[in-house]
Amino acid sequence: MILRVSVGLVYAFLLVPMVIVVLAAFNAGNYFTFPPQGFSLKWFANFFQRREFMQALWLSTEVAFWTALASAVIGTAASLALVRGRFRGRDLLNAFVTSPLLLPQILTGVALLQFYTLLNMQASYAALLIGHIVVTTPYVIRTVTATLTHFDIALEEAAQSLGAHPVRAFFEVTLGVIKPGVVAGAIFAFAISFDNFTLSLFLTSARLTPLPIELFAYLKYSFDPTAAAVSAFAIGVALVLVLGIARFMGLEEFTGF
Amino acid sequence: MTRGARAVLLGPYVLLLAVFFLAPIALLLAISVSRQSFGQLEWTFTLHHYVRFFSDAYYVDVLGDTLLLGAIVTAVSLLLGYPLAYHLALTRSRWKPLLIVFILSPLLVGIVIRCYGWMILLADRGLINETLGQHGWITKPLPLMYNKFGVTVALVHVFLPFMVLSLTGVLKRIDPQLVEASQTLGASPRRAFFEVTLPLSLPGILAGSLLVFSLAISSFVVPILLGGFKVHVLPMVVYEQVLSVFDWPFGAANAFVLLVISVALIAVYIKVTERALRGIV
Amino acid sequence: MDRALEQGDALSRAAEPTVELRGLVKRYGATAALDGVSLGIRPGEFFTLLGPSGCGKTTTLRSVAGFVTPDAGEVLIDGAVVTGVPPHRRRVGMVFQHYALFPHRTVTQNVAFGLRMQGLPKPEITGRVAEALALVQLPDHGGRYPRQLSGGEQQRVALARALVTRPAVLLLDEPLGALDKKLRDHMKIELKRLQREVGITTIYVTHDQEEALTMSDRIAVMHRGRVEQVAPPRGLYETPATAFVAGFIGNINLLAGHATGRGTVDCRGVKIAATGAAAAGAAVLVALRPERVRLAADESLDNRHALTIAHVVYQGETVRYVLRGDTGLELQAVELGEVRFAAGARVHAGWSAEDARIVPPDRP
Repeated sequence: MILRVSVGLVYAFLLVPMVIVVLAAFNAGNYFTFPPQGFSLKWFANFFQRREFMQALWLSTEVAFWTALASAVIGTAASLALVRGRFRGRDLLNAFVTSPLLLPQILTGVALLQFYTLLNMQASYAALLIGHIVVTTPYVIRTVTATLTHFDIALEEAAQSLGAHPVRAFFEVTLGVIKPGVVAGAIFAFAISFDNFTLSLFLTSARLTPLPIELFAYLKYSFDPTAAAVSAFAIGVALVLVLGIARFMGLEEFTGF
Repeated sequence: MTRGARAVLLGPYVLLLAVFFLAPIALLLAISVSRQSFGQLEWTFTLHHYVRFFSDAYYVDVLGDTLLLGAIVTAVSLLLGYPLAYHLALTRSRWKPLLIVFILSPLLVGIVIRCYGWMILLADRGLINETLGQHGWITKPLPLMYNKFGVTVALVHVFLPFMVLSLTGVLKRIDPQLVEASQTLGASPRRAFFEVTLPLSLPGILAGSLLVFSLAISSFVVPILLGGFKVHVLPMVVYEQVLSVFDWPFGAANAFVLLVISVALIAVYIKVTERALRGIV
Repeated sequence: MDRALEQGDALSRAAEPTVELRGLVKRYGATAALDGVSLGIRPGEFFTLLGPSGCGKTTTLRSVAGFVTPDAGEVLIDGAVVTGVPPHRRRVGMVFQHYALFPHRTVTQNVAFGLRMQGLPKPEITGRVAEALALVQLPDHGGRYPRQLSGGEQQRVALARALVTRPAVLLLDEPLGALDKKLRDHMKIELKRLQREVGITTIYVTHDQEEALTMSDRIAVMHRGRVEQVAPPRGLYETPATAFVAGFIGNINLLAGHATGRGTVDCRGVKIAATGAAAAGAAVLVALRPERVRLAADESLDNRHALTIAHVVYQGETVRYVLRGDTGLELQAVELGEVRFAAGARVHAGWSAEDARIVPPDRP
């Protein structure tokens, strides 16, 4: 009984800030009061009318899309190579391949900034995209690997015995079966790229600003509920993405429990 | 799988990492031991920046504060996260996917937004203070933000899901018959938890703690937004040095101190999780 | 070896049952895992719950342990009602299928666990643990960890751990399943010897009828949540009460037909003299063991029918014949030794009415 209550309280702790933000976004008046003073969409209107936010939204969506696509392809390929067959140095390679996950993004950001500057490509679209791909691909590799280890290679062998070339067998059979893992990984990559802040901070400029950075700049100096509308929008996007993962791969398998 | 096929599949990513991850980090190290004059890098070898870091009381304090903050955040996350993980690992309720959504969605929402939520709650004219003031329970606003308290609360909030994810995996793998066996031997459910479940979940506790600690000491968005510029942590110094002061070598040195600590922690974390998977048969 | 004594006829029938189950019912959704189970297990008895998976035997065992609370019915241990009492307050010892030894504790610590829970003083614990380990013949293994032990050794530690607390009843949940054949055969003898030596009331769960037949004083055959029959091994084999029991234990012929009410059953036009009560016209089965069918029989047997050999199966030690009658009646006979007949041969198959038992057909 005590467990249920304390667990409930902790879940409340986890959700309260986001609930507050969503409430503030729809609040007609001063969002510091409770209960809320009426329902209004004016902050959303403001959000959609401001050019810097719309440009940032577009940039974030575009970068996230390409990042998800690239990391899905590269990650699935890498995962295939790692899961199948034993070879020397596989464990080491495994660790290497997932290492960006473990390094704090601020370090990756600083290192990449200095690297890009030396190559004179700092604050470019390519720089941003590559940075995102580097940090999101490990997540794809993780989910695809999880799905692949459940995959029975006999299916592919059966396809080959029926006359399909190995590559064809892969596309016709394997890909269909591991699709949930690939899609879930891609969705997760999209989410991470879309919300990415720390890494992006070092890779952007006044001309190239994704949504979280735009929001951060806004928040440093003002408390305008427009920021709440932007945030509520992003929370909506996140929920849609979580539902996407749930639909494709199932949340219990994705998290491993 | 043929070696050729493996090379084609693995090649792109390995190449990508080598060029855009390994190389930059190596570069970071190189810069941290170089000098800079008038914005131009001179490639030399000097430990000047590291010496400067460790001999200046300010920077040492910052390092100490960062580590202490990390420790507190880890302890609180563990305290809050363990019951959650325990419940999640053992529940068979059909609301389980929903609970997982509750834990995952903060991760997908982005750190700035979560900070914003806390800012609304904790500010001097924020929701908590305004509500308490309206009911006449306080006369002055409680200092909940722009200090270590606010930063700690927000950091716990951000990293709690990581702790829960680490713990749940381990807790789920504990054979329920072990608990049942202890009960047939006379252990009450409470005793069974302390004698069986808790000791066997220790690897998860260790892994989760290392992970959260490592993440907490590297966070700088939360200290900036929730600490104003009054809470100084190492990542903030790195940010300032690189993007404001433009003292790249010193900034790189700071970053490298942070990196060494992080890598050391991660190495231990990997060792612990490997052992955990082997120890609980 | 006198089988009668081995089966424990020496046990006093007048003693109070150590474990009593009265009308246990347990439902999971629409399925009834237990559908009115009543049993009485006598002191010192080796009692087996036998049946296919899903029959309710494990649920019954777990009800005695306290991990399952029945929807209806009572569980009594030593005369006291324990339904609703949590497991840690019942005096049961349990050995789980995969032993459930605490991996983070040594053998000694594992065995001492129950005694620690009872709050016994350290010197006594040390003494009793040593005693228990000696009993299972592992006196020097105290300092090792479970992962350092073989399967057989782990099982013995699990036994020691369960027995050292001197429980009222010992519960074993398919403990031999994880062992290889040779070890299993050895452990069967070991377990039985141990149980005799300690004299503890034991409830054993298995799906392996051979295990049940060789080890038990009495067996309860379970099927779909109900007890089909409780009897010593010989009784189950020779006088099965239901079609299910007959078919589950060993090989048997089950001939479908209608009782004539005059001591015979009409199976496809063939009149078979059989034993057992049945109303005239009732649909029944005749259970007949293949080894009781004599081929080229003489006139003195109650049943003697002319049948054709359809198949001959050479099984090494034995030969199995599939016999077919002119009206389509089919049954099997088993003989020791060489092949006496070839397929197509016509023989006179005979058996006594005693060996043909009438059993009611299985419920739908």
